[in-house]
Amino acid sequence: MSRSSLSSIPPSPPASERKDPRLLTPTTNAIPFVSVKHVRYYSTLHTVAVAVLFLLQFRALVADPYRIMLWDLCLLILLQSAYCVACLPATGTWANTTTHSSGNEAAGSGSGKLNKGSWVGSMRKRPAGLGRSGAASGGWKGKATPTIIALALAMLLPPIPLTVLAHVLGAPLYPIALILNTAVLSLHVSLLTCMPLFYSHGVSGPAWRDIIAAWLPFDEPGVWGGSVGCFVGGWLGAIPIALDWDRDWQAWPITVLVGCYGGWAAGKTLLGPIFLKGRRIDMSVGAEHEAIASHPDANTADKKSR
Amino acid sequence: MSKDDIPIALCDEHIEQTSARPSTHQDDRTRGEATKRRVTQFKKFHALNGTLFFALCVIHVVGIFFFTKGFLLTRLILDHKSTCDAPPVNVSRTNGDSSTVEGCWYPRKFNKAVIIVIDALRYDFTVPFLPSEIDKEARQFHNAFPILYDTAKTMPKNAFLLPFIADPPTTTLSRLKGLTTGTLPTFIDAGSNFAGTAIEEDNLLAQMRNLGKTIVHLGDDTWQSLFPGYFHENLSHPYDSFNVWDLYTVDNGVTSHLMPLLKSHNGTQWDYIFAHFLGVDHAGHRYGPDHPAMNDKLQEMNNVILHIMEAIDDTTLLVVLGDHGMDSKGDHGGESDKEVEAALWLYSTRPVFGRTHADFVLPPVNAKIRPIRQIDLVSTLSLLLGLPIPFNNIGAPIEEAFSQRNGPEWRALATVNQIAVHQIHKYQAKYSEARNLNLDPDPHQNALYESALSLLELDVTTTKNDEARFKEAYLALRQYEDAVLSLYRQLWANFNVGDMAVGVIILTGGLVYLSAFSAWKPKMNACILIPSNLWSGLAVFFSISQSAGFASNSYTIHEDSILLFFLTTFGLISCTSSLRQSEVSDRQLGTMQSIFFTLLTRAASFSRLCREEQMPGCKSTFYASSNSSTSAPWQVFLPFIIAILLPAFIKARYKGTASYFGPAGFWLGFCFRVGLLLIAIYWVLDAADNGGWLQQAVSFETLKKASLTASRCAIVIAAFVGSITIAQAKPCIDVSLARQKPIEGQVGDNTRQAKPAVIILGYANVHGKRYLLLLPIFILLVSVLLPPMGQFSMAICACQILCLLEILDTNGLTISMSTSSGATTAIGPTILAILGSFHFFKTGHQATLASIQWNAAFVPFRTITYPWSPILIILNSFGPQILCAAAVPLTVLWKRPISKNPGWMEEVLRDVMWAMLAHVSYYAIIQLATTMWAGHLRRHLMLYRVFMPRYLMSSALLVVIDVVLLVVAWGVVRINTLSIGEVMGY
Repeated sequence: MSRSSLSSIPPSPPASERKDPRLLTPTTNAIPFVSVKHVRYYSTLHTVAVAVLFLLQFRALVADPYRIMLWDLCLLILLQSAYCVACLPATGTWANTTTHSSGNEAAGSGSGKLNKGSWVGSMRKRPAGLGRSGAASGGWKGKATPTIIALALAMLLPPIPLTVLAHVLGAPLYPIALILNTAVLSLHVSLLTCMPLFYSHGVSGPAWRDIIAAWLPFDEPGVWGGSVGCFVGGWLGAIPIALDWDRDWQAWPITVLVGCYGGWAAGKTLLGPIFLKGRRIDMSVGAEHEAIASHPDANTADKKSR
Repeated sequence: MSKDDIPIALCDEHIEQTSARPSTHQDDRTRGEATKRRVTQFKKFHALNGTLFFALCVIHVVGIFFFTKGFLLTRLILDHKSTCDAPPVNVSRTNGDSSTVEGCWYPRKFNKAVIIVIDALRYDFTVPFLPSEIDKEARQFHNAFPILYDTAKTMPKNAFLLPFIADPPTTTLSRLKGLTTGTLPTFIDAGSNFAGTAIEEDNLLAQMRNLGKTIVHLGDDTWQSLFPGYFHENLSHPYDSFNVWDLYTVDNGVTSHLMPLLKSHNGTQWDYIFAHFLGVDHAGHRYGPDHPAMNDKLQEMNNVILHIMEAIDDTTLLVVLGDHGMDSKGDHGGESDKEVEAALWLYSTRPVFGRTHADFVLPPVNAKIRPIRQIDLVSTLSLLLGLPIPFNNIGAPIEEAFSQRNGPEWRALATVNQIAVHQIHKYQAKYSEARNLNLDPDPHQNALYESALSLLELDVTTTKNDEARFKEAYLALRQYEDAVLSLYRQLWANFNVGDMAVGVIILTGGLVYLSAFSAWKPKMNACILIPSNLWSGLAVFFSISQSAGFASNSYTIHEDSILLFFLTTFGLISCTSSLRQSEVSDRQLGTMQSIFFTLLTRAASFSRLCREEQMPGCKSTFYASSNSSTSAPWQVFLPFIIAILLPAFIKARYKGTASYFGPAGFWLGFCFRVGLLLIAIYWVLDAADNGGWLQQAVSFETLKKASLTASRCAIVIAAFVGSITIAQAKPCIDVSLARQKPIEGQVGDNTRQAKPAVIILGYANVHGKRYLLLLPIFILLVSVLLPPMGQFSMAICACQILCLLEILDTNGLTISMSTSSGATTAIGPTILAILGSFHFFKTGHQATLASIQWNAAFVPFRTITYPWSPILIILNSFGPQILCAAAVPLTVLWKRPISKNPGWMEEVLRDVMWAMLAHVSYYAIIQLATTMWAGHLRRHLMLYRVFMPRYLMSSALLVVIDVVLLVVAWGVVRINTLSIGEVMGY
């Protein structure tokens, strides 16, 4: 790529402070736990509960994928809603983005991103005027509304692009009935990954730009770790389908669904709570960036992002 | 358009230089010398690196040679011959039928024989159609050739029809060897298919000749190369066998020469006639079995056989056989069921045949019931015609031919098998001796042999003919024969593991050399196989995980789906990455191109040609149906759509960087369009020919001439005009004078602003846009050889290459190791390799021998023409990979900034070499993996169906890619860089 095609114009301003001058600076902060006692235990319990309930249904799932997937979906809605309410800060109740005037010009503060402490969004209420400070006053009502909105958003918006995504990657188009299975699969993925994100980040533009660019930091509750794990797991889940073992469970989309749940549970437990806390997936190639890329943790992030 | 694409450059410095400093001769001379030195240095560097790359090619070839030598099976050929007066066992020469007592080892039943080979006569062509779940309606090839079945049904004593299973490889040459020597083919035999060599070992025809018989040959000239000098010169009429587009010449010639010979007054001129019809095979290759032409052809064969039956006398045996079958689209060569299931029919005007069981009277309804082996024919014919069984034969006499007409006669069966078994035993002893092998370790086999012999010994001592005892002896002999056959099947699947290991070691060494070479000059951390960032990791991950997959037959069979999965994964990751770019234009362009790339990949995946193992669950869309090898009528419109859209698409890219100047207009705007149009016309004419659309209006000959002209013109445009363009073109830039506007933020003096500035249009992508002129050559050359659906895939491939380049550029992934901001990631070249491999499957190919599109050799020629035909086949088969390999330097050159460093040309070369190594590393890893898996799984059931073809393909591909990279990519980069240097300054 050509840095600058105008040969007489000097190169762009000195970039000594930047990570990679080509890239924007991600502004989204990591989601913190709500400050309630034992919330960490509940979070772990939630992961285990979802995984166990899914495994219990596995035999029935193989027998009748479509019906059981719908049934599982209902369970998942309840569990995820409870999890969001119990563990995560609702949108508007925490500072989810670092305020920059614009990503492009925020080069100077980019280095600050690596400082410990600055990556977690604070639980401080955002200054009034930035939105629902009223709703953030805690209490049942203040939690229920964002949950319902997040649920509705997660059920309506992402499933369509996710279905397209699955088909682009090679999901079967005929028999036509399988398209419905794929659609339900994407509902599952959407609930696992997008619902907590909608709950905590709302519909904030910068946050969702970072989400689509896979650029969120790995957070302590494991929301982002679970999301990354879900996609990686689903990707890996497609692999056994091609084998000629003639097993029932090789039918579309069982393996992918298993991969999604497995990846989600693993990612939620490991990425964020244990590894890579506060780090982001690194996709740069620039020479200046090598120092960061060679950090062991960052390398793990590289692998996971596939 | 990206901000980087700003197509102009302001070169006021140059103007100033030339105006301010009047040049002197002294200056000119020193500058000239410096230029010359730079150019020489560049050429030296180019040659040195080219040589180092050539060394890599040599390593590949040597490694492939060693492995292949150990892997492809060879069989020791014994020179021993059977003779008439030395039978392996003396049997009573008189049996019930005392009228025929002549014959060498056994009383002969026939004096003469007419052996008709109908190439690719599949068993289900000859039996009545039975509706099944897969086939609900009769197809064109059903019920068109009923005579064989009808005679076997109505006159079971005169005729029988049986499935006739070929030993793979199912190529005509190796089948003819098996059918005349009675032994198993090994792969080396098949390797010489295009240059048939004479059979040295003992065979049926040699035995005929030794007894002084006259043999006549008609049809396929493969016989002449296998048996030179065996045939009666005046009566024999060979015909060229490889002109698969000609359905009539051979068959008409055979029929017209055969019929007069059968007349009774000519009966003394010959003893044995071998007539080889090719029409059915050619109809299969050209149209596929489910085509009216096949129906016509089979009906013609039906009539021919009917006439022959009427013409022969009662001392003549009539044999009709298929040497192999054909797969569902009419090709053969592999070992799928449909390819090995041929038919055999024996007929005599006298009632001499029988069955051992009442249920066996009707011919089997499909080829799975009571099949016989093709090698069984040799001993059967030998004994029926009173000839010695050829020495190397390991086949057993066919039951039906020796069961007498009134119920089973076990004694006769036991006797003929006794002869055959003794001959086999003799052969086994000699083979064991010659190879220093101890071949009889199997006690079970020995026990069978002993028990059968002891039962027959009794025959000599006791006078009573006990039918039950003979039956027992016969069954024991058959068991022994089966045991021997399976022993040899194993033995001749004996690999030379030492050679194979050497081959693998050399190929691994090649990979080590490659990574050392890649890390040597530019930077120590630039080794291709050691990833340093996400993208390099992705590239290595794709190659390695695919290689691991080749250990499983499923992942080899479903390779096309895996490649689709990888390509879309790359598209999605690049989309994500594009969204991180800070430049708005980079972000938008990158995201758009990533999405476009992904969707195009998915669109191309709708073009499929399923291999047999993918069924069911795979729907072929490449041809009109899965039983045909012609395009559907609607597909004829595809080339026209491509001819309109593709040049426009490429032109838009040139306009985008204001590079549509100089050679681009003529070559892309005119020649490329005309070439694509000619290709479209060619394929319309071809479809008209296949479908018989213009039969009334235009003669076949006119149509053929017109289509030949169209395809030849397209090839001439691509090869000659294209090469001249590439060799002579100036960079795609233009210069215009403009009054320079003040640039914001630039501290300039006012005097400068008043001067006119030179604006160079197309400055942003000088390297890339000139090199890109190369690709239409390959698009044209490959497209003309591919059916419309393949052209669709090639057009998508070309668009995807352009998308990929934009993705690489907007994400800073183009290879440039010299600048600090430059990337060293192999992702670009690797994705190109995956893209090429993906489109290999989308252009109607599979990793099987049967999927080679032989028709491509007849696009610009009427007959096989050396050396062009093999080149055309290679271009057709590996076209997408060749196109992508030719595009590899673009991952370096695309929007590469013009550097003012002295030695920028070497930097370009260094980067291009690195990209080439990265590209070839994908193929080398795949080749090494498939080689190792084929060697490791050499006892696997699917070896010849799945692993060996894949290994052969990746080996051939690796050599082709090496050559394309070295000759095309490396050569054109030299021309390209020098041409740019000439304009921009060395």
